[in-house]
Amino acid sequence: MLEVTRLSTAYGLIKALDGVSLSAQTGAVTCILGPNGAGKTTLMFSIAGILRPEAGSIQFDGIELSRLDAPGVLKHGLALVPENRLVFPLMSVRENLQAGAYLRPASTPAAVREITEDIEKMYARFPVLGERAGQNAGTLSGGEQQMLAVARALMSRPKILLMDEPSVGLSPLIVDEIFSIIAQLNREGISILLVEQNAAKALQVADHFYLLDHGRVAFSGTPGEMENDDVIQRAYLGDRAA
Amino acid sequence: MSSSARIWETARLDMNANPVMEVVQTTLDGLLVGAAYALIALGFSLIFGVMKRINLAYGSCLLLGGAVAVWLEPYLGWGVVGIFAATVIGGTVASVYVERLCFAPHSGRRAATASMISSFAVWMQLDEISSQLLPRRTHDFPGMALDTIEAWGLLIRVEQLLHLLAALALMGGVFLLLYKSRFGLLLRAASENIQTASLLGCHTSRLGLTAFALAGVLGGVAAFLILSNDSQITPLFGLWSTFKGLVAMMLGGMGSIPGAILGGLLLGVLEAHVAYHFGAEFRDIATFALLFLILLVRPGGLFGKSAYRTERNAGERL
Repeated sequence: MLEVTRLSTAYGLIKALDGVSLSAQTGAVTCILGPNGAGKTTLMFSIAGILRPEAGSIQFDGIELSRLDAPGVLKHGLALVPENRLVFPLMSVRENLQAGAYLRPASTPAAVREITEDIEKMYARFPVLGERAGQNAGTLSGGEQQMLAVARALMSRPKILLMDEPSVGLSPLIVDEIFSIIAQLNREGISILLVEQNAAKALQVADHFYLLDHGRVAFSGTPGEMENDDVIQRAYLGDRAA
Repeated sequence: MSSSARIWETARLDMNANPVMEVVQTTLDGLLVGAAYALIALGFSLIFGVMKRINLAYGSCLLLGGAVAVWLEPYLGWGVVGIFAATVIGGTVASVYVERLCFAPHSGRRAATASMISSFAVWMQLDEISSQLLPRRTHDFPGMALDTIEAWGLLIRVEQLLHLLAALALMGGVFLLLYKSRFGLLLRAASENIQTASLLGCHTSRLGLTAFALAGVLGGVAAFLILSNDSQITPLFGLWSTFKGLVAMMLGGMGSIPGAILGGLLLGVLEAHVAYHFGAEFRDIATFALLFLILLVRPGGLFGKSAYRTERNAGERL
């Protein structure tokens, strides 16, 4: 279980996170919603070790992560799929996947074989990646790059996948596909912490959600509770009455 | 740029009879020098690729390596082997020193300026140390003093040929390291997007240190090749190598590995032909004319279109 307690992160004088507390249960999809500038990406970067929080704690299965750098966090089984995919455009699809397995040992033939098998599994899960294995990742479409970014993160065999706005900039059809991938990964036992602006989609897969606003948790609950709360609906998610 | 003057004093056969052989001989001479340029450009490119910053003290690291080698020679007395080892080790240590002092402490938006200016200061410092070690205007730099052989109507200095082979072997090694090893995979990933690479488990500070050390080794070998070819070392060598390396890298494309190799070889061949046909004083004019043309037509350099795009992608974040 991932437990964030009273987390504060600042960029210089600007406090982007101001005492955020939340938890993500093992085996669940936990979703963080909120408008632009609410601190969603800052939260993800703080958990993933890219940003150093000013105060508060981040515990994963009892291990304190808030003082670790990004490789240290990854070692404990948390992998971030960054916003805008950020695949390595000049490297092939296969090399992108190999880079995802960088922290895994590869000193014995058995370990190398295991990584190769995992890459094959990714090709089986995302056939389009297999078809384009030798192609530079920059030539893939947005949706394909998102699949590659997810597969690359999975190559580290994470216990929990942190996903920052996986639907951003993708067409509605591809967004549906991405969310069915998220649901599928969750069925296979991977915990997911998802940041999204597409609240309608996110709430379909989420077990629990938090609403972030101006660096604070404004609301938390289950998607069912959200449906019934008119104020929240109108204030943060737009009128979905139609 | 007088430091390289003697590099061009290649003996020539009487080639009036055969213009084709003339072109071949000049091109060969150019490739021999170009290989050393390529190594320096590779060092620049490795650093720029990972850090996206320019190391102005790089040439001075090479000078210091050479100066330390010449200064140590009387104490060690190991001959050419000792000179070679001391040049490479000296260059590498200096390069790591520059990284720790000018690059590691800076990150974020102002890092590029901070690193460039502090590396400028260290450039002066390293040049001064070199001048203290070797106070005279020129000092002898021992080479292997091998004979010149004549083959297929061409004059080939065995030493230069060995240098070319060594440079090619080193480039091959760097290529294998970058494209066939896990470390190289991560180094390339980091040069595309260092933050994402750290998300995949790359310790970025360690990677920067490794890139500088590797650049130091490449530069040390290049310095030995050029200096022993010239048989002398002057205080201008640092500036001269920074200048040649930067131009070769910009020709090929900033941060591009194949670009650095091609840019170096191209620069060497161009200089050889210009010096042969118009005289040595036109060499640098031609170099800058070519650089100007390339920047006009292909601002990213020959292999640079992709490098330019990478830069933009990296800039989109944060």
